[in-house]
Amino acid sequence: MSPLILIALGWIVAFRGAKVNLGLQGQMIVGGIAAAYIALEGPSLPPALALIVATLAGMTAGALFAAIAAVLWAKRGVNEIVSTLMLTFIAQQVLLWIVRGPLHDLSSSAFQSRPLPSEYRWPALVDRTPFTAEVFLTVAAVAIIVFVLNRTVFGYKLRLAGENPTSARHAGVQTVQTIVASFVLSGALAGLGGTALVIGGERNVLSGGFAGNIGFTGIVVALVARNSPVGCVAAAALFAILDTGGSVMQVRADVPSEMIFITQGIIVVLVATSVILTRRLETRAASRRGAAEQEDAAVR
Amino acid sequence: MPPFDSEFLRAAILIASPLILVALGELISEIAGVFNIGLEGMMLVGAFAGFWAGGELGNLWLGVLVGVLAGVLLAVIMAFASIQAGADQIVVGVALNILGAGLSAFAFQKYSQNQPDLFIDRMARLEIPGLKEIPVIGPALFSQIPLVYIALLLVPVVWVLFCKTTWGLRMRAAGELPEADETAGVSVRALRWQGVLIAGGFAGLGGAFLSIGLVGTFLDGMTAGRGFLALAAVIVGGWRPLGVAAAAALFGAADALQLRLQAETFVPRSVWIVLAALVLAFIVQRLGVERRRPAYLAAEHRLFTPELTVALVSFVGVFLLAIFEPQVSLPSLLWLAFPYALTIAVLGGLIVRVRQPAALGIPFVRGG
Repeated sequence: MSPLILIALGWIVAFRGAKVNLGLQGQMIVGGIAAAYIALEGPSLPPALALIVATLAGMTAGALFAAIAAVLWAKRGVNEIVSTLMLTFIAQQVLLWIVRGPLHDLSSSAFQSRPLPSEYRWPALVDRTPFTAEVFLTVAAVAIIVFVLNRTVFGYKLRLAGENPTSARHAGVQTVQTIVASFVLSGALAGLGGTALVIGGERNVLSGGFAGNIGFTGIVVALVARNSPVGCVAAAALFAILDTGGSVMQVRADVPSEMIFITQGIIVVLVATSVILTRRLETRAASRRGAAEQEDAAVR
Repeated sequence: MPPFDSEFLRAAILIASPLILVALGELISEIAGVFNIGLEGMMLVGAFAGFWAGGELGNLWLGVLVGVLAGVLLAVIMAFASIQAGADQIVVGVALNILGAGLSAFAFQKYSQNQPDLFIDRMARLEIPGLKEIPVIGPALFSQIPLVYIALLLVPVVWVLFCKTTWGLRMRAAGELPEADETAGVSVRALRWQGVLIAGGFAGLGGAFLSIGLVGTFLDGMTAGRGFLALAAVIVGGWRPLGVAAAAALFGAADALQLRLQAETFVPRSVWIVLAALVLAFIVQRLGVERRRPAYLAAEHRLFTPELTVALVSFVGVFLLAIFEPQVSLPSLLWLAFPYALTIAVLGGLIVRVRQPAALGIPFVRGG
């Protein structure tokens, strides 16, 4: 669930600057690769330091990967929707190659890496429960993002730059730099999500499908939460339940688990249209009331 | 000069055709002011519906028709949400991609459970006698499946519709200045509905092309980003029918090239020469832009801007590679990423920056 939340946060941060980061999946994959690479090929480190280094490596890789798209947009005006998606397809191919080539575990019949060393696991906060440091990390990430977006100068500038770039520029905000920074932060969050998948995953290996579809489902989570960082937690819980339910449904009722994607798509379309439609109905009702009051006034 | 032979040209045109179709459809939608990023989902439902109907009804043309209808059906959701309800077009597009991928995979899963043979006969080639005998171009252009001819013929058709008809003018106005249409008594909403539905139909056709024309079966996610390549082609082509088709053809050629290079033990010299020529074209065009700059501006500008320096260095590098022809290649999995990398490079190196339609992505509210 926490990778979902991290991806959703990544989408929200970029969206505050009116940028559409559809390549969170790719940034997440690159982050996962970097973390796995450090864990498998890097020097042996004491447990706490090992986790910090791997996490930072994953975040940096995700940030740099997002930076490609951000710089292309800032310098050359390249549409970020297209560039981030192209980068995602490239990242996916690189991942498929890495688990068959450089990081391939030859003792396994599957295309995957060796299991990560034992120091690369989230320490449990309460023994034998899923309450590991990952939960703490996710809560901290949500809190930090809420603070950065709502209580800092950077967050304020970002909102200005996203909502009205012209007036932001006139107010002296360096809109391009601000938006690039938010995009890089968005990539770092996705990279952190990828790291969490590798380190916190059940099998503790890097495989071709380790990222699943989380980079896109996370976007759906953010959309359903209507871009509220706190709302993401509830929406991510809903989608985690949906996901588990989908697997159970496949086993018990022979309904293909792809059903959950259909559900996700329908939910987003409904959320996107209902917000606008209700607003429109409200204004219509309000203007009717206004007209009635005017008539009343005229009669009196 | 391998790998650039007649067979390569034939493969490039075949692979480019579905991209051209989808890109033309997206162009129509964007010209009318609706940014439709749900292409991937529309292609996937078109691909499955075409495959299913083609196999069940035993007629590939009926399969194509059903594929088109499936694309249109998904486009109805896009049109209703973005035009009637005024929802965020990007958000709806994202949702449609997920929905389309889910619907096609779900249906395929159900269908394949009690179906021993999942392959259908691909559409047969239709050779055009006479024209086929022309050297090089003949076999490449006139010995293709009929869907290719449809794709290629639609390019001039779309161009005529856009540039020579009243309907085209009204469509362009709907994307540039919708108030103008409204003032002239033409419904902006109706025009945009037409644009989105046509885009859905074209995307469904492109999807059916993949399953019926290219592969002969359906595979989960078989579009592999072609919907987004089409989106890039619309931008690279500068929102003009001929430019968009040319850009889509370039991406198709890149795909055909990487397929060929996967089989080679090392990259042949001719590939390096072509690459060097492309970089050189970029440099020449860049220098032309610098030369046309007014004198009072030229003084402020260094000739060796960072991008020109990068281009010159990469030209020298590729030129040296062409001379020495080193025995290098990539693992085939990485070659698959080549069209995407090329797309980013083309988008980044693009000089002529054409403005997108002014009202693109903005919901139109009458009297608003």
